[in-house]
Amino acid sequence: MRLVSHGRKFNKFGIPCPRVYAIVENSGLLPLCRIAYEVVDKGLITAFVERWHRDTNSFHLPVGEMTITLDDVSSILHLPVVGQFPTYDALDHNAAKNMLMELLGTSETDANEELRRNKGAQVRLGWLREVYEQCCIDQSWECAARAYLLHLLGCTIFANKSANWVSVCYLALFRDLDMCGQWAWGAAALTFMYEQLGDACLSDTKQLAGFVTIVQV
Amino acid sequence: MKIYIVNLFKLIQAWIYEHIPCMGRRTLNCRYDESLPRAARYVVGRHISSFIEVRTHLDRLTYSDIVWTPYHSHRVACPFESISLFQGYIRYGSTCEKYMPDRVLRQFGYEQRIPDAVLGYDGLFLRPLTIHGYILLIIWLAVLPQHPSHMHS
Repeated sequence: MRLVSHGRKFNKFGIPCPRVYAIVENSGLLPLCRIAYEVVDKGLITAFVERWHRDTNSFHLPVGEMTITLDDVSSILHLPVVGQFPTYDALDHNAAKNMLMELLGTSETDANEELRRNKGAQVRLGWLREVYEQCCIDQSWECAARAYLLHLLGCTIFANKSANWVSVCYLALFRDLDMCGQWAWGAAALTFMYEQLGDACLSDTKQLAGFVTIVQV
Repeated sequence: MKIYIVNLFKLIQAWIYEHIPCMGRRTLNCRYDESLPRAARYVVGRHISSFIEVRTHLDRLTYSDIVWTPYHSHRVACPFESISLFQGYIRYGSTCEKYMPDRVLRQFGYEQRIPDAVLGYDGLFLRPLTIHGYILLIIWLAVLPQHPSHMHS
């Protein structure tokens, strides 16, 4: 099992500038800015993953079943659990390009180049940081906020397994910045967590043959 | 095969510290106050636990090691949302996962009864994703003789 953390990448970014801060606060995702990098206790987490059962989505312990609930997400991360489930459509190259141009204000050449380079509807986190800085210089605060929020999602709730990219389709969630506080980010984070734990516990059979852990931070 | 648990590990880690305080090597953050997310309450040093050690510890876990409802003092900053007792599927985009709080009622301050059958994926797309299941669970809880210790919604 390999634990990938984006905390350090996030630290490169830090707390957003004041104009963007208000928008991030309104989105309900601000608490994620406070939970950046920390040491991963791989022994602890691995031992718990071993007790996870994907059919019941719970840890099976000697004292019975326990699980991470919406109440836990709400109390531990302060993410909203009431609201709509985040929904978006999958994007092809052209739709992704148009979305980058429209919502992040990038030029067609830049958007095209970035998407080609990544061979799909995804952008690099480093590229988003550049877009954010440029938007701040141009004082186009809405685009800057979208770049910041997509980056934040990419290194927390919807972190990509490659540890470098984030899918462009999440950008649709930030189309209307006044409305993006409606999404139940906490429920989305928990869904993602269950999915990850379910995938991880499947590998437990292989673990018997030789368990190797690598922590990449 | 490499399997990834991408970030959000902090959620699991903090969850373990909250519910099973005797596990993990962490110290309390002296600057923490209840207005902050509980994740900010712990400081984790460079020392990490050994896998075998935790496994042995888990095997010996007893009922009294568990803090079932750790958030009493946190309710002012973060009130209990009754939607947490929603029984059904939670999702984002096209990903759906089963969410079954009736299996972990002790974490909500109730006595644990035999839970419903595990949700299947068969009827998932026939069944609209509404709060229907949530209402059912509330009714089911209402007929339990056990009084909730910290919830009245």
